[in-house]
Amino acid sequence: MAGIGFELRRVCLEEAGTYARVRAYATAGLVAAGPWLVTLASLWFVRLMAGQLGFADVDRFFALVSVVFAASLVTTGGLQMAGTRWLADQLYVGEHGVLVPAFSRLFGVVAAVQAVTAAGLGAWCGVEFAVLAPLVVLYVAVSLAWLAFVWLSLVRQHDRILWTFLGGGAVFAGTLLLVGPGADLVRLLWIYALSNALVVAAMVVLIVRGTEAATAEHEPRLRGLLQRPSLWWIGTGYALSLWIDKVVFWFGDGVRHGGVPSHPLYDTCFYLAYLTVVPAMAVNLVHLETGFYERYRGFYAAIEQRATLADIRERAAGLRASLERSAGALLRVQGAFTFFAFWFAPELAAAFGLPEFAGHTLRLAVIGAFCHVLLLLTVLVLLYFDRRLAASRTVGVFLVLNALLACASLYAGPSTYGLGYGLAALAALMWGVLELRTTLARLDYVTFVRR
Amino acid sequence: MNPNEDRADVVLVLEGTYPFVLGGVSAWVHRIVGQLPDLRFGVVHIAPRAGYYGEAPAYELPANVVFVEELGLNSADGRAHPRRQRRARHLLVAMWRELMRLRDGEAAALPELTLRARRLRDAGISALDVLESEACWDALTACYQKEAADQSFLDFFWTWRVAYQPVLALLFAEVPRAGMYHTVSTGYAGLLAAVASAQHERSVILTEHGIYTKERRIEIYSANWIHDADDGALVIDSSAPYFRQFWNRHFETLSRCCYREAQRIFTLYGQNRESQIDDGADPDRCEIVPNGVDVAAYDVAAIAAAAARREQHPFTVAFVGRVCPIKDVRTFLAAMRLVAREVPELVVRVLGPMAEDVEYAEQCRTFAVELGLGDNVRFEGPVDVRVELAGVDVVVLTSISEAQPLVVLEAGALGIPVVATDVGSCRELLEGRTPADQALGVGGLVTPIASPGAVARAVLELHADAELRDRMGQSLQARVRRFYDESSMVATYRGIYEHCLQTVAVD
Repeated sequence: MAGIGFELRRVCLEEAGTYARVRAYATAGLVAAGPWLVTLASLWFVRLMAGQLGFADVDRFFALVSVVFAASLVTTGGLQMAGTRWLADQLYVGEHGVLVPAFSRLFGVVAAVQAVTAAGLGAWCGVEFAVLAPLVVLYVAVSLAWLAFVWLSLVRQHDRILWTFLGGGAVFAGTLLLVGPGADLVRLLWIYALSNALVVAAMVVLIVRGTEAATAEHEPRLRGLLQRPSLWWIGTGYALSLWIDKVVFWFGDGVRHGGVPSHPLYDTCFYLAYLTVVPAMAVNLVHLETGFYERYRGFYAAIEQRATLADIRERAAGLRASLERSAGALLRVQGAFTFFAFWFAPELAAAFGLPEFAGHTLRLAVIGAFCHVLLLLTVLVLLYFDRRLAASRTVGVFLVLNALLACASLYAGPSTYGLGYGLAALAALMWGVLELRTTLARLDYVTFVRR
Repeated sequence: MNPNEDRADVVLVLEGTYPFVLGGVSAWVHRIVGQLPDLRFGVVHIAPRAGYYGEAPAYELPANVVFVEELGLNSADGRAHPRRQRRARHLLVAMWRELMRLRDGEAAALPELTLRARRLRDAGISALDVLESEACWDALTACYQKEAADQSFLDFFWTWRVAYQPVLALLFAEVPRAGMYHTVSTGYAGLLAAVASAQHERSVILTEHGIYTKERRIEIYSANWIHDADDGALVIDSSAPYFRQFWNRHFETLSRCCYREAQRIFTLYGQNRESQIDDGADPDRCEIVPNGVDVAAYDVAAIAAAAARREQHPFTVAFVGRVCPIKDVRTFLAAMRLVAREVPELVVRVLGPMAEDVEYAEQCRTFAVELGLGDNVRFEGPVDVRVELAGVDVVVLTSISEAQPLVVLEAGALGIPVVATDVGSCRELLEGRTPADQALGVGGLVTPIASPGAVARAVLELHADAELRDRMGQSLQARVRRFYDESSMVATYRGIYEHCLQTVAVD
């Protein structure tokens, strides 16, 4: 008789063949540190030179650039996260041929969608047509930069990304000096937009050249991008939670520069605060991306190479120890920097021409940023272990608390500015750490069963 | 329809067979169902997944089949609910403790397991939850550490999962309410029938043609335990012995469940009954109901055959069956060469399909020529045995494995003596099983497997003595008419069904 007993085993194994293909998430958000610094430096250069070179409408320029960054990050956040995972999976199964075709396909989609979004955004801010054109170019260029970023991070070209941004920054500064004197908003925007477009072009060249070897024509199955909806939520939710308190302040207590909302004090405090967590990014690159990542790979490789449970558990313990070491190093290095920044926050605020109470806001922002960067790393590690649900919850906690507490601190008055953000980041960090501890405590079970 | 009402008198619980797959067991089921038109039958058919064997049944369903339900074991039903799992932790731990006791041979009663499954389901827990629970993980790792600590954990994990997923799916399955349940194998179908019987407190009976655990054992041994090494070379899996053992034990556990719950256990012949008892079936519940042939249909043909035989000059020997290795046609041909030395006018007819193993069939043709039998042997392909056997003096069966071969019954119905190897129920068929049966005399000669010399001696003995030939033919005919009549087999099952259904009615 045709018993189905053994047939079943075959079918099951075939269907389960996509065994825990848990892959490294590129740390696109983290290696952003370099480009982020370059971007901030470029913008400061504008402020620094504003008086000497006689720029007009600088406040509106900054307000517009902030809006562009915020909106482009939120609108591409989901794609960045889902794209990272999709591409990592493709590379894992050796589909290097999809790199370029998939990128060019998405390049077109992102450019088209973001051009429309930018036009809508401009219309909503009520900008004049002359401003709208460079605004759209800038918005599209920045969005494409996020996309290119994901691609280059995955082929681990961090150094090239940094050089590209440095080059872009240099071109921007040079152009400003050359044709900048007396520039109005439109010319400033054009210069900034075009230098960003140049950076994107350079990254495109890197992507295409770097993968020339794969000549075979590949039809990328981009449908796979939609396979894990939770990643779209995590990416979008994360970007949104990063900006939500700023948006609350823009509209609750801000000013409008020709229709463009901003809150110069709050914004400046936070640009400064985020600068203080750059050391954490560096430590992350050194520890997470090397020691931890190797152990992480070793853990999964051992499973696939048919290790015994004892071996797998030993490796899990090594992985936990490595994470604890990384966390320790992170806390020491970043803790020292944050403490330093906290101590000198009033002086720093004064140096940037902010009112006296802003020193207090900056202190809270520095503490908040400290928690925030740890939170980001926690979410990334959760994603390394494919704990998408846990990551979603953590991001959700941050988003909701950050929005609510921003409103509360706005209501309570200037002395609590930044407190809401700090508390939200702290609470979300604690949540995330609990999720991570649960995951790590039974890593073997989680890896095999809760795929 | 009222869910408390029986949707059929008898629900047949089957796997990989009727009505989707052609074969001996399917044909048997089809005949029984067709010949008991006053009983309403339902079919629950288990497949690896729904639609696995195609959508359309391979048999035209008789009108008394009131429903056919398919149960896909792998259909990804439902999702996991981690929070509910935590809430129902104690229930899950208890469930796995029972399942492990079952595995260890301490036959936890199936009604107990079914009850636990129902309690879990009431707590919103799915079969998938049970499989993904921490309780499952703890049971799995404990078992691994006890038995397989030096094996690949990945392989162990998947083996475990693939083994238990169907078991849980069946424990959680809902089988339509019926007057009774009848399964024609142990394994998954046997388990489901037992679960249904426990769920609805109705009788379940089992008929095994081949022994499930034996068939799985053969599959497990011939399965591909060779896999690709990282460098692309093929390596034989050193862990194979452990995992073979794992699967054997798993299927034995399933069989034990069914044997334990079945009120009555039937098989075709004595040897199989012994195997069932070895696997844990209660000897008092094990009975033999052989297959039969439609004796009435042979009456006219038999007379014609006898007449034809008397008129016929050349001595004719027939082989009936598929030309394939398990039938050992080469031994048959080698024996015929020995016979042809003594009886040059010998006619050898090979009746049966040649398509199953074309290469082997071709080898047989060549072999016949090499043996110098070119003029004696005719390969005739599939024919109507009832017609073509007329005019044959002796039927020979050289199989190395058989259950209850139909050809012996067909020859008997026509009064032709048989020379058969000592496999399956051949000896019972030729020499009789019970004293009353043995009193009917000997219907042919039994030979060892793969022994052309013994087969040739037996055939020559029958050739030399026409009276012996007639006597044996008549004995075999008497035996088939009395004990292997299909209508009596059907009547037996009618009796069994009616008895079980009556018990229900009394309740």
